[in-house]
Amino acid sequence: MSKKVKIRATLKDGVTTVKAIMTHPMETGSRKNKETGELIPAHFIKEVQVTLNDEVVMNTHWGTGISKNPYLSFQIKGGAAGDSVVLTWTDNLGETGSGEAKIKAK
Amino acid sequence: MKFTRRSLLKYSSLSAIGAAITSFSSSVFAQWPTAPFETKAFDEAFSLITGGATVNEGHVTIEAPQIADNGASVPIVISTDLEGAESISVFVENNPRPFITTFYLNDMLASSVSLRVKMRETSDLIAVVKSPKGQFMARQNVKVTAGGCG
Repeated sequence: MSKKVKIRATLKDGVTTVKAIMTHPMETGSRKNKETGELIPAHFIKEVQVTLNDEVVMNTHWGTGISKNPYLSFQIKGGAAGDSVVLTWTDNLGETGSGEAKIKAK
Repeated sequence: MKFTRRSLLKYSSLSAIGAAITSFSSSVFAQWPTAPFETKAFDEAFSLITGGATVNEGHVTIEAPQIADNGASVPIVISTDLEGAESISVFVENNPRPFITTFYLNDMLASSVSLRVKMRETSDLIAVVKSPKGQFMARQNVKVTAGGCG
């Protein structure tokens, strides 16, 4: 089951600002469970891809240094109200998440 | 539909073919770079990412707090004024794994990304931008009062 991503895209002065929050523990694999002393296995997002109307505009590789429940923001030149921005992530366990936003003009 | 990593990769390469028409950088096909992500040595991670090429100062800006109360989540903004920037990579020198991320950009993106990174302790943040003009970097120290890799 793919997890939801909160995403928003706002068009202002010809530039679309995309803001997204993913829900993910981003475990490094070197943290210990305080009660059992056992290592918590690594669980982190490795790849994030963003498309604008099905065309890839950004791709990124992440390591364990990205904070828990990752936040990401960037700007796309152009874009029009109603255009579709989709963000998809894949983690090291093969789980995925995605979210879609329609661009809103400000 | 079962959404496996394999099918996602297949999907992404399909959409990349469409994107290729708009001259997307070939780096979009790059695999997750295991070696730089796993090394504990900043110098090694840095040279793996930059390919050992000369990296000059300038054209790259890091916006980050001078003092971070919570190292688990340090907000940073990396931007560049370089035309046609291909990628932005971020390092935290004193982290157990110093290489944080690479963003691959295309010409539809304004050259700026904001994100939040973990910092175990007070450290320099380093951002490297690859562009047709060469590689450029910026460095900023962030003082961390409570570590975030715990």
